[in-house]
Amino acid sequence: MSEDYKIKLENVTKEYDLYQSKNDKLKTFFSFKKRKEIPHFWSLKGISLEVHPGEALGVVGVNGSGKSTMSNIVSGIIPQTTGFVDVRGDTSIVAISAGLKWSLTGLENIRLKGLMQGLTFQEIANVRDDIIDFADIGDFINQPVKDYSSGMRSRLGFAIAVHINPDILIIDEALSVGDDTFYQKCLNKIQEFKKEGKTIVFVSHSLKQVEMLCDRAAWIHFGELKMIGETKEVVSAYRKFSSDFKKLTAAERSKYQKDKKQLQLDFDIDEYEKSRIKEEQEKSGLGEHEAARRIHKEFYSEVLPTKMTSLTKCVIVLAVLVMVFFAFVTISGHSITKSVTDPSVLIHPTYTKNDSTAQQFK
Amino acid sequence: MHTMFQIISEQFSNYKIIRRMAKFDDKATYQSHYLGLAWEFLNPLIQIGIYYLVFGVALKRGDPLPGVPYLPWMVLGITPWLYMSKTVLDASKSVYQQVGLVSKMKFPVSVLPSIKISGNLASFWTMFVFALFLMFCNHMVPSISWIQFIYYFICMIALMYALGIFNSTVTVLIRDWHITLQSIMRMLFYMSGVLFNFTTSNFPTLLIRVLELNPFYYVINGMRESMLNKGWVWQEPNLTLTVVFWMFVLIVMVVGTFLHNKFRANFVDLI
Repeated sequence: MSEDYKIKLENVTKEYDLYQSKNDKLKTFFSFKKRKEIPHFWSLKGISLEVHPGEALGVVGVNGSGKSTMSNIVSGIIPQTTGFVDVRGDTSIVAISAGLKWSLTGLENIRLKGLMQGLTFQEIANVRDDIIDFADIGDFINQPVKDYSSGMRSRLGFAIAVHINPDILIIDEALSVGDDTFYQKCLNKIQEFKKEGKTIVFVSHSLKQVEMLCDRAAWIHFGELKMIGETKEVVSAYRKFSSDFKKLTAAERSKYQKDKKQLQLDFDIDEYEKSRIKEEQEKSGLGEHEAARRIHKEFYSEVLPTKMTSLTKCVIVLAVLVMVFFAFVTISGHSITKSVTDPSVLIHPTYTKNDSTAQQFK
Repeated sequence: MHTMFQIISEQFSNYKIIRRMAKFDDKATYQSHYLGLAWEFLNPLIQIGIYYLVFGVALKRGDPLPGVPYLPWMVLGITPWLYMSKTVLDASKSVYQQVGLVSKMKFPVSVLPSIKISGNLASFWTMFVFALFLMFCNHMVPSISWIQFIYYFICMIALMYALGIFNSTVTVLIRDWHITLQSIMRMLFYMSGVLFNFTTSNFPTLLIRVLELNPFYYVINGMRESMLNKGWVWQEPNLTLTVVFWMFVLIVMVVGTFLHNKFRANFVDLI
């Protein structure tokens, strides 16, 4: 694998907690430990892939296989649970529910989204007309977005995302809503993007679209990367799977899905780490200890801890102690030196205002 | 701890976005009002007028500090108070309000409270200039202790951000928290010495000392003392209060950033 990449994922996993009730949620909120009894669902079970500059990568897979989770992780909306993610450049994501604020007008949404992506007022003014033109919204631009039709909304979302000039464009099934004219417009825009050498990640159910647009494709299957390679190969393999799958009886189908989902529930991150350590040992010939350290670093160095580290706990406890002590010093009215040398005075407060206070209000 | 530094550094690396978003917020809020931004200053002025009538004229509390008339004293205190109470409440809603938007794009969620903090500063400065004007009308001149104001201003921003990141996360998780906060702020208004000086009142000494521990009081009183040249940070009891204040900020900040980081991925699912 070359060092020249735009996006790199290594052993990326994503875990979701399946809370059964509001109560469960609250309990995790107040407990700082990880609770075992709540079921965990692993939406991604360790994905490693690279996307090269100027490449269009298609992502295919059945519903709920983790495609959107992956594209959200790449675009930085959600953090991964473990693993290493490196994205070189600005990303912009277009999703079906375009992420517009319904109470604001179209124009205000353009401004708001532009600002949130780090554009200046001037830059937004420059692209504003292009966006309105591209989205083909016309006079509706000054109406609140809640009055738009669903097609208009997704057009506006797409138009904003492509016009804020990202290096990496992530399209998450967003082309399925527009009509043919708009679809053609989007395709042209995407081709234009490719010509400019920008990178595209294209998540779609439509194999035709993937074949037409993408240089390479990845097939994600229930949280695992089943295949990555030339678009033709991957798409034909996926086609074969779908047609085989369709031939199964309904009972067999649901059993298959259930088994796969169960695997995602049973997934054990520590087991996975161990297996990766073994692979690393075989591959590089390192000692067990060294390999374990390297893999552990790869897994967790990028991730901010969701458990409180002992250092943090110590700091909090220490800060509370210091705060309580000084609070008592204040209330007792004794000086700091006296309180330190003879802490018993803290519970025998003086009732006269101390010197400096008295001076202050003389 | 690492989480806390990371989130704080996010504020600085995104300061341009924060400034522009604050500007946009201001425009969007008052766009449908005829008087527009003037409301930001009219509202507090009306409030000050009422408090002055009740506490300064009708109840005749006399001078809160020796040699300082009531009106400039009160305005100097109510300026940081109005800013802080509005910011605490705004910041606590900030994540909840924007969650639908930020869940669909790449955006550092941790700057949402900062946008409110910097947006509300506009009215803070206007009020502050008004307070200075009142001081000059009462023949009070600048003094060296004014430089302490910079320190207390930093204290105020630190307190606002610590509370902002903590409250905004908790409000997403527990919706009742915002309403609770409203009541707490209303109560603190009377306990932070905004309208009357409780240290010169007939309160029992111990109660006064307990009230002094309040971090809002620390900021308000500090700003007053520095502007009116009535005391320094390192004098007692300010020194011990300083330690208490910063420890409070540290604890809230560590816990707040930890919770924020823990739940930021699930903000959407939690609503």
